Amino acid sequence: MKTEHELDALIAGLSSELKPSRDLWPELELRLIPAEIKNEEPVPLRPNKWLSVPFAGAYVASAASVLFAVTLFWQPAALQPSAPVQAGLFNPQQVDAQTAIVYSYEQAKAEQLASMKVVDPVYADWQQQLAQWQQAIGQVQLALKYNPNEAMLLKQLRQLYSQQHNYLQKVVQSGLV
Amino acid sequence: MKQQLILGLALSLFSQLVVAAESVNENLQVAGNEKIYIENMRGEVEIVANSENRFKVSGTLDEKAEGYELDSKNGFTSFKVKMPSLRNYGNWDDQEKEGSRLKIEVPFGTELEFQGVNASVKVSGVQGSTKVTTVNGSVYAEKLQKFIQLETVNGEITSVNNNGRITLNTVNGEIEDTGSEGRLSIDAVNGSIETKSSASEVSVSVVNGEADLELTNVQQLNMSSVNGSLDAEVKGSLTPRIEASTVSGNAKLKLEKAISAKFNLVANAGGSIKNELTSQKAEKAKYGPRSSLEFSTGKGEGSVEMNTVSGSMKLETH
Repeated sequence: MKTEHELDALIAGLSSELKPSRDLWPELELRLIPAEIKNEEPVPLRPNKWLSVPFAGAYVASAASVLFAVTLFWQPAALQPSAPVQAGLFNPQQVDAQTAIVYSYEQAKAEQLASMKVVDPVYADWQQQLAQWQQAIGQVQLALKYNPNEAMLLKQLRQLYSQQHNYLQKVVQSGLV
Repeated sequence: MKQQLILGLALSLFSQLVVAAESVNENLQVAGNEKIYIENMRGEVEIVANSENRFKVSGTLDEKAEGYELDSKNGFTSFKVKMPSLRNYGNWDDQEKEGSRLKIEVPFGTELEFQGVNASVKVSGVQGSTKVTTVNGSVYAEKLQKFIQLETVNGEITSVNNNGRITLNTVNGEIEDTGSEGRLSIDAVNGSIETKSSASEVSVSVVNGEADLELTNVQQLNMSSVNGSLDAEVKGSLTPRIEASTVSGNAKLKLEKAISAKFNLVANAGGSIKNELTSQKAEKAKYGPRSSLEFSTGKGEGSVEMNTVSGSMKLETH
């Protein structure tokens, strides 16, 4: 309790305004998405003051998923042990639930994207659809930052990934027929 | 010479028209629980169950069809309209004008599977199991039993008085279900969902569309949405197990006043919670954007869990 009171006292003592030590505009300007890319965005999710994640296109998601898988497996040659590297170094049971979910589905997604050759025209907007799920996943992940082990959020995260996976499976199969 | 050419062209066109008008009329004895596979890429197909142990198919084939294949032995029957290898089966708008027009009769106990692309299907009375898959086309299914799986990409699914393990799935179409019983699972990506069901287990998932559910005596309900809204009216269920989640969509649950359940509602990042079932109000976390509401009614036998990231949630009573 003492800690909480101390925290309250410290918060009360803080200034309600904080000015940045330097001009932040140039960096912000650089991060703004060009107008032509904005026009290609799918229907945006309802904006919320807590959730201001910039839109990430499906191609970014795809690239991120490959990067994620590569990052987990890649080790510089100098750091590699002399013994041969065993498959399955990444153990989902040794990481937190969120990382395990993200890892397994992103890896599966990377495999699906890699196996994609032709896409049936009925799934012409598949990238936008995927981006919508990715945006929703981003929102859940952001909420998980506030409540890291919230079971319902983790379940929601898994569900969103599962939906995206099933949809992507249909897209992939449409090109195989 | 010119006249011969015109005559030749006319004959060629005539022969194509003859092909276009190719009709089919088959009638054969099959088992009462025959496993029947039907493949028709374009057009409209009506499949009805009969009390005879016969497989019948009549109507006209697709203009582009290269005949048909019918095989039947050892309890397996397969009917395929043979099509040239086409990458594209034409425009959806042309479906009204092109494709097969078939009426197919199968025994009641049939285990039926239908596959099409630009095909609309109407199927009724099959009591074995039914699986219908099409891409651009609507599916109408009535009085089916056991395992029922209806799937389309761009089309509407209408399910009437089906009973069993029912799975309805569309990407861009709408789904309308009435009078279903058993277990019901409905998924739509961009389309809307409407159901009036008496199924004991119901699972509904929508991404951008809306879901409007009227459920009677449901024991277990799972519903989820990303951006769309969920609106469920639950009648006659006093101890249900309900889970609902949205990302930024809204969820509304209308429950029996005498419900006995433990409630746990969480809005994780700026969402709102409104409770009109009891007097309890949601509490906002001291730090961060989370707000939550926990309470019990009656003996707390059932369970209601609702979760949103930034949408709103509401509990109501009849």
